[in-house]
Amino acid sequence: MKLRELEGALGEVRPFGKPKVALEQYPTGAHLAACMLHTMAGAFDELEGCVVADLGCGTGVLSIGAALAGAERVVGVDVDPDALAICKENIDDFELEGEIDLLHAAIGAGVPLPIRPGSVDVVVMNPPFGTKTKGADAAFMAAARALEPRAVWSLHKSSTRGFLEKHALKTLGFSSAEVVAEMRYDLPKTYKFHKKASLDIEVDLWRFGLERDED
Amino acid sequence: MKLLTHNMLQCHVKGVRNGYPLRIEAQQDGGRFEVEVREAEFSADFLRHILPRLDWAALLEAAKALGEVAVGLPDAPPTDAMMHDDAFLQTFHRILLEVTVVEGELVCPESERRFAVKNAVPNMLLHEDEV
Repeated sequence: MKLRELEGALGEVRPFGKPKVALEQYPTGAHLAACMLHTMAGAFDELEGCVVADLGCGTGVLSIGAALAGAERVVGVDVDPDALAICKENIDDFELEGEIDLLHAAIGAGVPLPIRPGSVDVVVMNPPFGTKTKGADAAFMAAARALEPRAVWSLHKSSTRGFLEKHALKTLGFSSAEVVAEMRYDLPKTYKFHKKASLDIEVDLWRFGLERDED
Repeated sequence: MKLLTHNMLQCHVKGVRNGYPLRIEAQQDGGRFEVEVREAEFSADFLRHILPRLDWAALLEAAKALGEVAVGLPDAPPTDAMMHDDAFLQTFHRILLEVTVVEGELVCPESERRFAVKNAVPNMLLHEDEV
């Protein structure tokens, strides 16, 4: 699927009804999601035929996009039942019930995911940036690492680049950590404490790689 | 929840050592158990890709719990010849990727902790004292 088609399709994904600030529920924009998935599918060939886990799937932009862009099967995981309900409607609208399964579970420090290591090929996620719950981004990375996928694709604030690289390689034991693209997160005014109508945040698209015997 | 997803899930309650595979049962309250077949695109290549990573015994046990809708898997993992046999691949595809548990429960083999499956979504959120 072409980048523009993918972006157009993802523009139809229904947003959060009442986003929850404690969970840092921000919409993943259609443009950002499409660029991310297009890079995974194209330059890295890490979607086609893959089993993908989407951690913190929210309303399902990345899950749906992954399925549209060639992933064979997607499992979307989220802690928030309201987000999962919207996600389910979105999946139904796109007629992707066969391709995407949802799982209600927490992703955080000290809580392992109920998923057997090695059972997914690739993790894709737009985690909380850790501005409300300190360390939430690092906890998502640890949860993703524990699944032992071939690669984790994730968006993070550019300002945390140095820390993330060290965290990925030294603490979590990824075999590689690479900023694949620098992007802009066009954040529309989501919460009352946002003063501006929209805000550009610089984000990095990371690929954290793991060498596995079977690959 | 498709059986591919079920094959991935394990109980992660603190202290449980062998929370795999989860048994599929009817809901304890009200006994609801609903399974349906949701059509999905067939890919022989994908089935061959995923086979080495499946826990065959877990898949077999799950299929048995679902009854008639999931009949046709061999006791041992399929041979290479079977993985090139179209009729078998169609059966395998249906059981692994189309049969969907809509209402039911997942039960940990060690702790007997029950996780509800509602509207096809397993709820594996833990209570505070289980983390």
